[in-house]
Amino acid sequence: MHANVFNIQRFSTRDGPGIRTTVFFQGCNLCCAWCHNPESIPSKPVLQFFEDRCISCGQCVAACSSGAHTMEDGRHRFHEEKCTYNTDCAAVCPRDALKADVKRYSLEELTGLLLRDLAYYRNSGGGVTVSGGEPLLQAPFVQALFARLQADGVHTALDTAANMPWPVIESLIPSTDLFLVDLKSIDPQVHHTYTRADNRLILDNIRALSQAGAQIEIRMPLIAGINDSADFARRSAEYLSALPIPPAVRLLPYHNYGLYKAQSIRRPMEEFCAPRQADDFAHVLRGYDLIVCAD
Amino acid sequence: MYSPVSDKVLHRIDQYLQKSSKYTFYDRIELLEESEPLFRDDPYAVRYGKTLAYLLRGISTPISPEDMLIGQVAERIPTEAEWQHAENMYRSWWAGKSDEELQREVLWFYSDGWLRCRPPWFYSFGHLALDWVVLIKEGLAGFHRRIEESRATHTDAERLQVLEGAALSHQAISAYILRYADAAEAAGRGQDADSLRHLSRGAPRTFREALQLLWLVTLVVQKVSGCGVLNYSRMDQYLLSLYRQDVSRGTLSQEEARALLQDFYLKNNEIMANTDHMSLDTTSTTQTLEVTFDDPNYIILGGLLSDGSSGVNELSYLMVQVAHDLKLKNPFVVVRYHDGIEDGFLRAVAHAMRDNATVILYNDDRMIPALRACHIEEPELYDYGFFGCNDPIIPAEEGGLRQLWLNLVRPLELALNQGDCPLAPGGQNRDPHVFPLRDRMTGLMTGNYYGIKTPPLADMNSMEDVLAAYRAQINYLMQEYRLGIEGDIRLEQEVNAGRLRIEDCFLQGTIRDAITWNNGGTKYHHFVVQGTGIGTVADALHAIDTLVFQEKSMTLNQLNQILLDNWEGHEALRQRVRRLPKYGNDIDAVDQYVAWASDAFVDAVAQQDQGKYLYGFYPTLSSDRDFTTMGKDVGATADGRRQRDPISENQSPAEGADISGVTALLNSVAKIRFERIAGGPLNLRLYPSAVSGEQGIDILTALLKTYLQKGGLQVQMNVVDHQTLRAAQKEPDKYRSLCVRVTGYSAFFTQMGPKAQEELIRRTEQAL
Repeated sequence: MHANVFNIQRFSTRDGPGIRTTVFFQGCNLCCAWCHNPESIPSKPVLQFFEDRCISCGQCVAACSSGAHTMEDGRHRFHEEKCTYNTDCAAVCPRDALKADVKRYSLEELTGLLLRDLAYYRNSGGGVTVSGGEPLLQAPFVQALFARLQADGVHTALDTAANMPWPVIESLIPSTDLFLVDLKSIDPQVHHTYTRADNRLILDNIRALSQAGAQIEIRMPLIAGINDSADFARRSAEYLSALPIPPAVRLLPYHNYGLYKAQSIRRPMEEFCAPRQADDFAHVLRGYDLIVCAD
Repeated sequence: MYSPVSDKVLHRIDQYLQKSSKYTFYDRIELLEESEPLFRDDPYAVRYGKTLAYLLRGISTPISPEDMLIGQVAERIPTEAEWQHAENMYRSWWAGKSDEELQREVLWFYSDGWLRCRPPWFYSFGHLALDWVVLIKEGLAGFHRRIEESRATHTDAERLQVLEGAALSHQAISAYILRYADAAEAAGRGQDADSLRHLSRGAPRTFREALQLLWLVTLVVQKVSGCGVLNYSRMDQYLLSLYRQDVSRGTLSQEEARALLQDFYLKNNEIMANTDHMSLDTTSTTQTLEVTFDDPNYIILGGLLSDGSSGVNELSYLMVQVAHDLKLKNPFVVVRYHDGIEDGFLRAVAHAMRDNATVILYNDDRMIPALRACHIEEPELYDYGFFGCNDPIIPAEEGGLRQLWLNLVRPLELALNQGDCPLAPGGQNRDPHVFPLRDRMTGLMTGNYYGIKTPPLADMNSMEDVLAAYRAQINYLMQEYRLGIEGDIRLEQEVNAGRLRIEDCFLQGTIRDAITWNNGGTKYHHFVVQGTGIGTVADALHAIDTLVFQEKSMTLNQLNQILLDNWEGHEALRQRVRRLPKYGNDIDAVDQYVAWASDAFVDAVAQQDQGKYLYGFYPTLSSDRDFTTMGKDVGATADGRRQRDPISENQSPAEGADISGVTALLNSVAKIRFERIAGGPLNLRLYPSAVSGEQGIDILTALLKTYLQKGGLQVQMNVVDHQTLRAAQKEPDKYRSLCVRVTGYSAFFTQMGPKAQEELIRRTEQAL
């Protein structure tokens, strides 16, 4: 059993309780306009090329066996269509202008790596979080991984957009201690415009998870002028507070750190703004007795 | 628990920070000049005591209304002419002296800048822990009595001179305290005057008097005599009974205890010149006329007692709290962790560290076995502390400031070149000894070093052969060092006999036997041997293993030729090598070499510490900030480092090499067998929001506890600020591991876009 992982962050402290390791899975079935990990969206790994760092030294041209890098008039050119993602170019780039971080892990290899911090998890009440991308696109792997971790007493958290058929999510309930579910917008139309998917399935899944007694934290990105209005806050609060077990909510104000990475995979992104009044949004939610924290 | 500091105290801290580094205790300089000709005909020790008495009679005794504890010196900015005058006097002491002359006069010194303000006839090494326990339990009378008792047992003229010098010194201190009693009386502080009269000889009767006495002795020893970088050792132990007595009698409130400790800490901070002693290129450091640099004093808290129980008590909490509240650069608080330490105390310490207070953690469970291996006996073993940055010391039982920064990268380059020095091939050592005299005096390995002849590379067929050559070279260096210092020590026995210094007046053994500590008066004598550059060594060994013996992509000779050519024409290979697994990422294949190199280092040191010598060795893994200096004379290394670039600092990985997260870094470091290493720091850099809030303190507590349980030795923390981020923009290669976190998102700072970096710096400035 294998999975594509684009990043592993040890000593992660905000994706669930305690000291954690967060594993970021490659591939997503939403396409959020403000995504902060845009390089994780395609299911096939894409070479990142940070053009502003390139000094056209030509090291990558010599290292590449598929002709994806060439020199023309003393300037480096990258030909995406020829790239086979064999990562040799990134290994010789002196300026970190090329990045190929996606790695294929076996279950054993990944479990072994995650258990290296077992003592930190135990002393802090922490554990492992899987995130992405959308980790549930590799659900059988996640399920097997969590079962293994739980056997060692490791707390497991799943960061998902929940845009998956219910049976997939349901299959994770026994091995998942905490669901971190993203809610991009309460409004189906807005949700569709900015993520290219409807939110009805997501809202149904959240309700079903709550019904099943799962522990849930809802995470809401706040983008100025798009999903941060008082009306959206009220509608979100009505929905969340009516769930069988009202979940905790974490608000994530927009930041622009994804833009540079979007450029590196040649997928230009629009820049948004952080909401000026994230507190107002939180205030409305708290009015419905929801527990809210804002990063 | 953070408690607010009064506006008055904040103002005081502010004033110190704004104080010009030109402020000078000019009384001292004038009085030294006056006294220089007066006692020339006296034996050294007698002259020493008389000089101290002259100074203590002459200096003014100012008292400020805000002083809780009494005792300060008058400082002012000297005129240009005065400055030049002092400068000339300093020059007359030292300029133009050969290393051999310097050695006969002062034996050894820290650096030229450090030596500069110290007169040869009134010299002190400092960097040690005095017998604070006798001072607090018996008062100065305890020392007076010991001197008189010793005088009755000795007949040797030289020893009697030492005792006379010590008696004169102690009488001078008692008289100085009486002068302060009069000054207090005149300032309308009758109660303080009574206390001071008592303390001129008597043991402190209250917690307040104990701090008062500690402070006045500090002022004399450090500010007047230049015996700096004091280790106060275990204040939470030797002050505890007075503290409890006053609290139970109801004569000491929490507020008063806190305010007294605040005053004590603040005064320690305020006597330091506003300089940076390790930045010898800054003018404030080279031009200061002061003997007290910014080098802090040390306070040891917590830790195991000799009966195996925990020393943590209510005073330990309070003293950590005061450090936390004030966040001063000095004093430097060392908390000793041990398995089973109270969680609440560890949390208070973590909280203080998180908030950038000057508090660090040491691990008893590693230090105690390591010191035992250095032949330290019980019960004093349990009272260990540190002088200087991370150099172990047993209070009252030994002196300090004998150091060697052993550059661990040198044996590697010697091993690859049959003992030749790659940056100056074909040369030879400057001295009959491999370590030239000046390097032995200052402890820094500068210039070229040549080793023993080890096999040619063509004959090295495995990693074991390379490691054997490394061992041969490091063993040779330590053997040569021992040879060199044994000669020095023989010379010292001759020229240093009878040369009393202030620290000898406050140690065990020195008074009883009437011998200075370094000539044998104390029970213990050590050089701290600071292994430097271990991260560079580990990465280089791993790269050699990978390229030559695993991949077999080149011969050892070919690789070494590339290193001799400083990677010229091999940039692609250098980039590949830079991206090989590195120490600091919890990768066993590399980390095995850090553990190996550390063992090879300790073995080499232990071989030269067989008990027949007066001086033993404390092996530590510590560079202080000299890793840049140390790199300057070292050729290119197989980890991708170019010649003359800095080597790795302290216990840390090479700059920017640890890119797998803090826990991975700690796991790597914990693989070093620290039960054999007697000191040395690990600088942990964390981004503020990773440990923000109450939850952040819990997380940090768990992080520190887990690391120490895994066998880590020491942790000190830096919370990243915008200056670090600016530095990272300028030199991204050195900061590749700098991880920042904002809004549910972590990133390596140097990999963020320029715009996002600016945004993050703005947010970090706001957060702090």
